[in-house]
Amino acid sequence: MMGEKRKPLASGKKTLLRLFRGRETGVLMALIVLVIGLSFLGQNFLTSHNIFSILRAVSFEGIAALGMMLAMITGGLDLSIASNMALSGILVSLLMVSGVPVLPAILMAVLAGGGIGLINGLVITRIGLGPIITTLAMMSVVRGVGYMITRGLPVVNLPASFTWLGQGMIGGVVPVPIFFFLIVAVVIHLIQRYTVFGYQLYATGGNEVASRYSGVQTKSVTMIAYVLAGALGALGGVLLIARLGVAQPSIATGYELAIIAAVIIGGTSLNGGIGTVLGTVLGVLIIGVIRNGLVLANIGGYYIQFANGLLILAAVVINRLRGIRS
Amino acid sequence: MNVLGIQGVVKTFPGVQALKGVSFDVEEGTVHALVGENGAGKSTLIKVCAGIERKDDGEILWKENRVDIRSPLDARNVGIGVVHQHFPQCSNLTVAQNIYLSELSKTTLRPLMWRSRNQRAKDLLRQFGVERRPDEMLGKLAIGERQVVEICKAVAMDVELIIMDEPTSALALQELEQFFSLIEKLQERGITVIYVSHKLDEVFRIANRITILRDGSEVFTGSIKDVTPARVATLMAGHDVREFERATPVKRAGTEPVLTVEGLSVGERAHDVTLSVKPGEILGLAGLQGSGTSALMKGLFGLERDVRGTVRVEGKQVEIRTPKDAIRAGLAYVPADRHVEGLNLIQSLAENTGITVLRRLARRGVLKRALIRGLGDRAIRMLSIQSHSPWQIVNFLSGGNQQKVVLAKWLVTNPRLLLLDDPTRGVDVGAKSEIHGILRELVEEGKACVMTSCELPELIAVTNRIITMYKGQITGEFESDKVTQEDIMRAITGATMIEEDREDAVESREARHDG
Repeated sequence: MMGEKRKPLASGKKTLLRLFRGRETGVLMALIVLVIGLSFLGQNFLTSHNIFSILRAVSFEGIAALGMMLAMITGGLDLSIASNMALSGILVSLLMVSGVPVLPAILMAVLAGGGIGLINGLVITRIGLGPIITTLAMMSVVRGVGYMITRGLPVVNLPASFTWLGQGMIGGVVPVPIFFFLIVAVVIHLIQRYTVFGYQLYATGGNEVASRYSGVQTKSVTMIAYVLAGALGALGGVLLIARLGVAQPSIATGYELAIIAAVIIGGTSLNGGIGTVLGTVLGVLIIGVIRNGLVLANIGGYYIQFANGLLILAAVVINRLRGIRS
Repeated sequence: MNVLGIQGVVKTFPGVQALKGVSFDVEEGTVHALVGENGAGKSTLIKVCAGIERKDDGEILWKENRVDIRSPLDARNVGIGVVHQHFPQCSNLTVAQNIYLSELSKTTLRPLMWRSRNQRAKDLLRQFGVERRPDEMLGKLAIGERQVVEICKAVAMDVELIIMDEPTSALALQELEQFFSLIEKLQERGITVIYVSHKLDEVFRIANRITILRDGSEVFTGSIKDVTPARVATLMAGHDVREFERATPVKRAGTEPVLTVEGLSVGERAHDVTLSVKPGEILGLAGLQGSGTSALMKGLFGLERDVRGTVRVEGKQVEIRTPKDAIRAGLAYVPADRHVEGLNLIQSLAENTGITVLRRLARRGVLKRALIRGLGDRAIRMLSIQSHSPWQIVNFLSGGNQQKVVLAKWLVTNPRLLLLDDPTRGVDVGAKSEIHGILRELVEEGKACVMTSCELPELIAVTNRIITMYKGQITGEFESDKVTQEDIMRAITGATMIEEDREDAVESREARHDG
């Protein structure tokens, strides 16, 4: 009897310990410390209005970051993701302006984003080019297409039913994009944790040779990850344009760095095989909170880029330290 | 019944025919040993059976029926599981997740629940003597346990044949017994095992049948009872001994050794090695892959971390922690893989030669091209390197000339002792004898060399003395002009050890009889 009683206690203790040792816990702690620190800055920080505006602000990049995480778990990354956001925003806008209804237009833009991801995936797995150089080239190609089809001009007069997706509030309080972020996060989490594909994604990133020798089609797995990265980047871009109400080819320039920073801060390994939705969401929140704090502290937007750079460096150092420890 | 039939399998890689029409049968329920020297074609044959490499010609029969194995998945579907030598695994996944990687190799969005699989994985592991939680991260397991995971992976796929490539090379001595009992358990399940190894003591302990490969051809298949370890060693080495010019030893009796090594251990890979080399002497280190010869050289040159023991150069004790220390002590190291460890392929001959003595090529901190060029010219002249200019990019030189550049870069440091790990690997016959000539000139000058070679005839011909190693330890020492290939083959495959054990056993039995 005693033994039976002790068992759940011990295993309960173990899960608690594991939670503390997990990568996400550190990120969560950092976020909490950051929030507490910033709340001393002024009474404007910890208001429901400010919190929701932070959440809304990170939703667009957050959805893209989940895609980036998938690509990074394979051991690669997708530098073209921000260009993809811009192009899909332009595509959805042009389609709607030319009379295509909102929903089909969004679907087509997201599919186009997936197509760009497919090209990335094909070049990386079939031709065998490195993910950095491949997606760096695609970053410029995709951005260029955006400029070409708009001739550099903004696309305006977007339907209100579309802009509601970015600007609307549910119950007058909760911004709509947050729901998209939440739904995408849950879906990706379920795929990663509870499907064969998710399992193979980690296996491929952890040891491509072992997975291939075991019969896993590692090239297909990697390719699907890039397709999802492209599609999610596109969805983030579509919602961003819905929020802004205007599509410009220069939108989201440089976002890829902030997105990568968020994913790394969230505990995804640069070497592949490790990374969770929870961690990525926390990483995105940290970036969002720091940006918001810089604005509230009147330090101003000019410092954001500088802060992003430092964050990436810090994140990579942490990634390396984690690697050494394990 | 034959579970697997290999018929006339041919595989050619650029520049080398790895399998020249290999044929043999594997009987159901046996432990079938596949032995051969490094480069005999064992690994290639396994890769063909595993669906990793495609054969160019020939057939593979599975229970008398032709099968087409084009991928690892095909092999598994046929019923062949492979435990690769260094068994690549996903250390970021759990034990159970590694076990089911093959079973779940089809990419789908099918929901996946681990609870029942974890239970099955746990049961499977327990049957093979590993008590581990299936949801533990694989990285936390010991190497022997990780091998069991790999075997469970094959068993979980219901394979009928498991091919094990050098399965004990990763194991520590104390894990060996467990491993042998594991093979017995596989046999109880009716699983046939192909056991690939060049460790004859192990082969004679567990195998029923044996196939010997040499130079990509099968030279013997039969019952293990029909051969002795010595016979197998002879068949592995073959009789087509290539002729090399014999070295004339430059004996300098009474002189102090250039290098004295006492009780040197390099990690787990070389234990308690004691040897010495005199000036004018070429010492050969003979051993198969993983025997510790390469580790010993690297350890001596400050390229390994866990090095213990005493090293003396010309009687003076030296502390070698980095290559820089080694160079200062008068050592030079020609690595086995010149492309990766020996040369900067996209730089010129002169620049490669000068890398070891950069300080001498600079004036007030500025490198002088004229000095580098002069060094390159000297290298070309002294070693008769075929190159139209000292600025020739080494990538475009032939293998033999590249190797001469590696030699040149060390000779300019004026070393007292050269460590040469297989200095003629992948070099044509002409260049080989030129390199031998260079080594001979060097020892005539009073330098000393320690070398390995993957070709025993070469080692016997070029050296004055040979020390054999097996599993990290010295197993013998021979005068090169009195030794035969078979002697050495037996010493490096552990065959002599078995025979000694047998003799000991016989002696003790006789002793008991007497008593």
